[in-house]
Amino acid sequence: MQTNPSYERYQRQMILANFGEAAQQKLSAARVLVIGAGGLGCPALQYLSAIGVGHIGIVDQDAVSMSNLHRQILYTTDDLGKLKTEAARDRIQKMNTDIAVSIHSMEITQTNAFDIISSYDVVLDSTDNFKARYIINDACVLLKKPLVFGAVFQYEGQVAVFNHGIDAVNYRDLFPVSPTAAQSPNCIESGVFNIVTGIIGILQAGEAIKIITGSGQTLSNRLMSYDSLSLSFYTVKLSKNPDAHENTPAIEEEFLQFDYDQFCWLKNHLKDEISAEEFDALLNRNDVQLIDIRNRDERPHVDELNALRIPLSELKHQIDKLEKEKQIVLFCHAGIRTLEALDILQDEFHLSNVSHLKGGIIRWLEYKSNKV
Amino acid sequence: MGIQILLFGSLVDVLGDKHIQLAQVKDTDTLRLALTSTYPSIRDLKFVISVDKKITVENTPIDTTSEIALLPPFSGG
Repeated sequence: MQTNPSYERYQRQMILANFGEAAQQKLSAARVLVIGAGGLGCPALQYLSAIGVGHIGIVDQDAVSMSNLHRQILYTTDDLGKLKTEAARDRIQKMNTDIAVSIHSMEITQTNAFDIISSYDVVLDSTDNFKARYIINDACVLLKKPLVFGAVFQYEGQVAVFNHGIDAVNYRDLFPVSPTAAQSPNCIESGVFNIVTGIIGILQAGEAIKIITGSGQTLSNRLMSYDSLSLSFYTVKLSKNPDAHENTPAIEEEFLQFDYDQFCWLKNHLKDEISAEEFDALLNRNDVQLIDIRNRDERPHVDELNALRIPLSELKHQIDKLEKEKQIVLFCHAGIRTLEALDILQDEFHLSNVSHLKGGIIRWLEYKSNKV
Repeated sequence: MGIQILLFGSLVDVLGDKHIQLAQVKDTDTLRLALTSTYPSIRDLKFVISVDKKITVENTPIDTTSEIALLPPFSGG
């Protein structure tokens, strides 16, 4: 931990009114955890490290891929294939040699959340799925850690501060029931305007800095929405939600036993998964019917597969087009919406011979390009 | 006189506009029913209703001057 922050490095912020050495010392002594080193995490990490947060933790399990580079601005083409935690650490450590960086190269789960989060003062939720968001929220509630929430959808973003201040609300007060993945697709499925992740990630860093230094007013108990197309901000007040209580784990044991897969509508479809390699081997077989459940205008085109296109929204009404005596293999862009299609076909139509392409058509295209 | 409703996220995609108009309703429970019967395509979407910039957690009165917004959860990062 750096106790005497370098005046030379930080002078432009230290001469700010209401900042000074006191705020710099607080930042230097602070430990901030950024969960998700993607579109939101990258800009947040840049600014948290540059301003001199003494200890930064990074949680992510993924490696850098080409489609990340348009918005995950800590990474370069040279980092392709490297773990995001390692590439991000190396980059921000170079930017600021006075800080310490710890990495946790794993997915946040209910088994590791307490261990990882407990040693930090402030947590940033920069993840990309609801299961992680509820796990992080619940752990932060139980550990009494301020949580800076950030999320994006196409041209819009949301920021909020939970578990901070008087009568603090949390994510479950805002959304007591999790949507399904199909009800709220992530960046892989629906695309994202890169500056939205930049702005929301920086706002998350700003809120974390204000929590640490005690300056200004945070977005505590408020949700701010940003619309990049109209360039407008819309802030609403949040309050305790009576519906949230029922599902919120009250103690660590309840947290460890809570079924987040079921709560987030992620039924276990492991047995119904087929890998890109297995998928490739099934092509052009007479006993296999391929169903593309993407919308009609979605890219990339894979006409060579001769798949039948039935968009997810039409699946229930076109059920007679399925050749039930064959092995039915579903695919979508990233293997998320097919989970919902599997639920429909298995639970409502009692089909047992259906499986889906894990990681979607982008995973198969990646497999093919690696094979060549 | 009707009410003007501000939309966010996937609701803009599905309904094709940032704003929609509906006939006046008395409270948020009635609003939710009116929305799903007028726009069946949003029946499966999750969203919270804000009245005068406060997220509602129970049935809340709406009057002719109320500012209404519908906010869906975002998951992307």
